[in-house]
Amino acid sequence: MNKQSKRTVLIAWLAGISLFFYFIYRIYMYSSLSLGLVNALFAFFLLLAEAHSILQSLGFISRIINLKKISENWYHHAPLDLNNLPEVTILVPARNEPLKILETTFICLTSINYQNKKLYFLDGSDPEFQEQNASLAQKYGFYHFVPKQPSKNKAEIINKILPQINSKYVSVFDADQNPMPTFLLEVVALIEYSQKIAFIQTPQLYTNITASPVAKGSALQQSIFFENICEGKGATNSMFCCGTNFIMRTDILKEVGGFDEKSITEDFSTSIKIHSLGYKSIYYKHVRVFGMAPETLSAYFKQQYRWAGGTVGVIRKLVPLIIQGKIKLTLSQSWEYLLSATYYFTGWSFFVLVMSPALYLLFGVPSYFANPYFYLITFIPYYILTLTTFYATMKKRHYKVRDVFVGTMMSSISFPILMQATLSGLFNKKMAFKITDKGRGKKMPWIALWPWIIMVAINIAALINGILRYSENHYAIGINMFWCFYHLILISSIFRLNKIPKLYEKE
Amino acid sequence: MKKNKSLILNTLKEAMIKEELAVPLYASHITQTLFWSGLPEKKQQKIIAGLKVLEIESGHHALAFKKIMDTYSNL
Repeated sequence: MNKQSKRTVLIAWLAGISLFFYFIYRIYMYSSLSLGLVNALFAFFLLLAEAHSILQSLGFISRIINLKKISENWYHHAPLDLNNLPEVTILVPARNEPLKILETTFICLTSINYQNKKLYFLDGSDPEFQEQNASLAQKYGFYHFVPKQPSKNKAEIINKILPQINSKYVSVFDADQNPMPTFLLEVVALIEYSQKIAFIQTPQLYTNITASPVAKGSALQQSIFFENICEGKGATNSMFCCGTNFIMRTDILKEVGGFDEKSITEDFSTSIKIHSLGYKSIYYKHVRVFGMAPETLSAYFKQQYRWAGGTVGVIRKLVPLIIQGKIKLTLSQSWEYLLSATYYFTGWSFFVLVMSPALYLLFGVPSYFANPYFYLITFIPYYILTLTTFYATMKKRHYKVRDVFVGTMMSSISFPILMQATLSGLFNKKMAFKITDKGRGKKMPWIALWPWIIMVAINIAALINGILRYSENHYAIGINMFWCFYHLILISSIFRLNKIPKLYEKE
Repeated sequence: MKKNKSLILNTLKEAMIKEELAVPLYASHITQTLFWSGLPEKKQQKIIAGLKVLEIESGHHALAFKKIMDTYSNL
């Protein structure tokens, strides 16, 4: 470990300690208050929201500490006989994708340097797309598979072809993912090392960052996930399959009954089954595939809705199985799956954290307030150290503070979508599998932005009221005004992001 | 002989796809993500210029492959 990494780990430890003290103080403060019903309710929700943020921060810190395990020696490569390579079937499941995007992916897949590969295009498109797709598949040497019955999701179409696949490995790519020529040679060498390795996941890197601010924001958000978070998961054999850019042993996929068709995040749910059987996963941290980010807000929100609802839906199904002992995970795997499965409740915690200062400024609830001295010695170190850990790790990877802020902003503005999706997931409300729009540019209509407009209005009203009431209590009103202003900036960024991508401006 | 001919033609076609289509694609992906590399601006510009040269040369290579294919398939 170099000096910079050692310093980052030290900051991470300090952040963990400060986080612990702050949480103890919050619990003590909550339990020692005697409040009326309304105040008690608000105080409880605020405590829950903070507990969620603290849990996620703790998760991030634990991953940073675990990162020290990973170096280049972490990866073991089996020697490959280039004249006798194990067969790999490449699957590209797609539905109604623009021809240009498909062709780009086909070109890259054809260009993969690997003698023993088979190429399958799993076409779940509507009939009017199938003829042109068939000729494109033929042009690039893909087997064009069209299921007899239309498939509802990616898992279903892969499972339909699975019995016909006899290759040792399958490798899956979404229609907008462009692997580099060395992809298979690198990942096959890793997976061949041990029969216990079920799959190798590689990162996604979005390259269409100049298309729109949304594309850039989601690329940055994605990078935060695929760098520190996934590397941390990889260090504890907890990396889950992300549905694209991976290679998997066909026999293990068949052993778990194929991809979980009941979940719209089939990759997440199937990974739990694989880990539960004692198989390993590897996160290969090097970018070997280029992809496309959603370019419009509506496409980005559809993607977030699908991931949030699907991941939370998995908790509902799996918690009873874990309690019954039907699914056995190691402690680190359980911790990592808990963090991932609860991550999307961030929409609820953000909502509570935004509403709290605004309600205080408008109506004086919650009326209790932390002792300034204790607040200073517990909250400030926790907040600053956690942020410093985050920014220090990103700076180490050449990100600018501004870029990281844009990534964080993208997560924050998704809160109404995440709230709706987590409810759907928890209460098993049927969710249609929605493909993230690519190559099509549409702005969200103003009427669809009502949740953000209301939140902006509430925060402006709260700030005006704060100015009028400032003389009552400088400390309490000043701090709440600061948070209201910060939230106002975050939420109103949605209006800047709701633009037509450059490519489609003239349409 | 026929089998060998179609094998060679297929290999040429594959090489042409790589030169004509894949090289510009990868070049464009790398160009767009270079800002993440942390390399100094000057070095980034040098790499981008190099990628452009590669793109142009690939175009010439693709034409050469096409000529060989046309000649060979008429034999």
